[in-house]
Amino acid sequence: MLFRYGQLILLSLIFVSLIGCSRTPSDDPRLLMSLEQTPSAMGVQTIVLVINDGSTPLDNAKVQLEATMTHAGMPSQIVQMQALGAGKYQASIDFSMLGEWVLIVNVTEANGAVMQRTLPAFNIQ
Amino acid sequence: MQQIPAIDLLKLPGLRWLGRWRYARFALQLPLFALAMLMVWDGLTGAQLAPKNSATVIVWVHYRGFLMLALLVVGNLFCMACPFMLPRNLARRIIKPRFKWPTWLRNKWLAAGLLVLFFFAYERFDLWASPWWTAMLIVSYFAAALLIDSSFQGAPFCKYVCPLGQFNMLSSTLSPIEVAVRQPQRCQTCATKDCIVGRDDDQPGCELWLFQPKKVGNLDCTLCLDCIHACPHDNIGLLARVPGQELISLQPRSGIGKIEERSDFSLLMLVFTWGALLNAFGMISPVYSFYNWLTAQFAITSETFLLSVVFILALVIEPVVLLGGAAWLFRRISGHNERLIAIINRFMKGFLPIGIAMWTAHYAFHFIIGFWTILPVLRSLLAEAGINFSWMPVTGLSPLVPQAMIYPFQMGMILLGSVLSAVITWQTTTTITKQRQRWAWLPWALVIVAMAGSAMWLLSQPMDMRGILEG
Ligand code: SF4
Ligand code: SF4
Repeated sequence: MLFRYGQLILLSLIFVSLIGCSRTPSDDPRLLMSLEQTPSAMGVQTIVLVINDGSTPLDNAKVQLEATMTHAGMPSQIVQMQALGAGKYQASIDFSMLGEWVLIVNVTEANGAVMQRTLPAFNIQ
Repeated sequence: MQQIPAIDLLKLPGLRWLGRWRYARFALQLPLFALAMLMVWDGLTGAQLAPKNSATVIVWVHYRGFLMLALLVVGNLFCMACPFMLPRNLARRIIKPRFKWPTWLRNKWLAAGLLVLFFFAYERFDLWASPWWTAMLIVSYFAAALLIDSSFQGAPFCKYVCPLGQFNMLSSTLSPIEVAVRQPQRCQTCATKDCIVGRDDDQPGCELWLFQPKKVGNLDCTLCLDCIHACPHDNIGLLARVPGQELISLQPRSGIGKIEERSDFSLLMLVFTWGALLNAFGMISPVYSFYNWLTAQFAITSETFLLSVVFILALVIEPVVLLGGAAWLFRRISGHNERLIAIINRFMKGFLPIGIAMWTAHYAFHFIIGFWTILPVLRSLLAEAGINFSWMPVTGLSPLVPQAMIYPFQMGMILLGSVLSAVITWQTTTTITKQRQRWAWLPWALVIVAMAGSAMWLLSQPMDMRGILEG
């Protein structure tokens, strides 16, 4: 009987894993993103993000930046980035707490394609 | 003079069903079970970024804060509605456990060890930052409760294993309610003692072996309501009491004995109390300076090693020095001739209030700051289900109360905990020695001052949460 319960738990886990396969937000590997400078100090900082579609700078896109910490419990900041041309986008973020932060970039291209990417985490010290 | 009848929660309109309806606990467990399933699913399959996942947000922000506030305002409500017990209870309808929990494990040593292990894993694997590990933690709890309680009689998982349960039970010593008999004289003529042995109609008695007429306080009580439903004379209620009163009692406790003479209970209380300071130390900037200093001294960068050093300092060396020193001075001053460990056992419960205060101050901070961070998570979960709640705010989420109020609240908690600790250690001093009581109490008071000072310093430091990127 115990074995049957074990099976049930295992099956439930496989089930939830399978239905979850489609849950990750869509990314587009063609788009290359980098920060001009990774933030490292507390306070308001200007973020400049460079986006390339292959080797071509991506302009005319709507770019939204979300800054959040890697642990739960701190409210996110979501801002619309300002296009600077040549694939560059800029926004100000207030890094109000020490610790690990991540930037999540939401891009809506001129053709309507939408993608999301989480940039590597960094430390605010 | 007529005695004022105690306030009984089960006699309040709207709460009577808890005592009368046999499936009351089941009804409370169902929503938490559904929430646990949602968190497991989301934790295993959803975004692996803690603030974006319901598993990490609910467990590490809401659950912990709500737990402490509920414990201090009402009682051990989480154990009462514990979802881990639901599959276990259903399994017990089919499987009757055959084995008896081994005698050598009928103590709190294992639970104290597991609590240390949990604190260590929390830091080492950055549980607060990992939805996947948080989900696996929930799954492990379900599996452990099911396996242990399907094999062994009684409720050994709650009583001897579950670190969360121990945490709740220790904290509930300051709760304003307890499960207690309404009329003690009724028990004297009771022939069946169903509250402990259970009834033939499948209503169990107390599986944690707490016999109502001799039960003292909330320790080991999961508020499961079984005794209340089993008593044929409707003689058990949820009675109001003075919070912390049980820490002054020296009566032997049913199913426990005298905690003042049990080293396993002392260790559990020590881990709980000093663990509160250690857990807060892990989330402030100086811990990283300390790691850097350690790395420079030993030329070892392994996080496991660095963490082990911090744990040994915080949970072994510091309490041994403080408590051992206080016990030694107490013995010198009072002339009391017990062994140092026996003296520490007697005083250990006195430190629970300051530990509880520190946990509350810490968890309430996250709860207050992060309460509304559930909204974006909820919104995206609903959006996945095709329900559009785009009016729900996802940014600009303010704390539950103005941020300026949080630090004074935390200081108030620490002061209150310190005062209670001082009262309990004073009471312990006066019961075990008649010699130079004030001087004999002083070493314990100094330990309380040291702990309160550390707690206030920790809470005043800037928070610094690193995990994924060490160092
Ligand atoms: S069954 Fe009820 S009346 Fe009998 S001993 Fe237990 S609490 Fe008292
Ligand atoms: S005394 Fe025992 S049966 Fe009664 S609520 Fe507490 S744990 Fe449950």
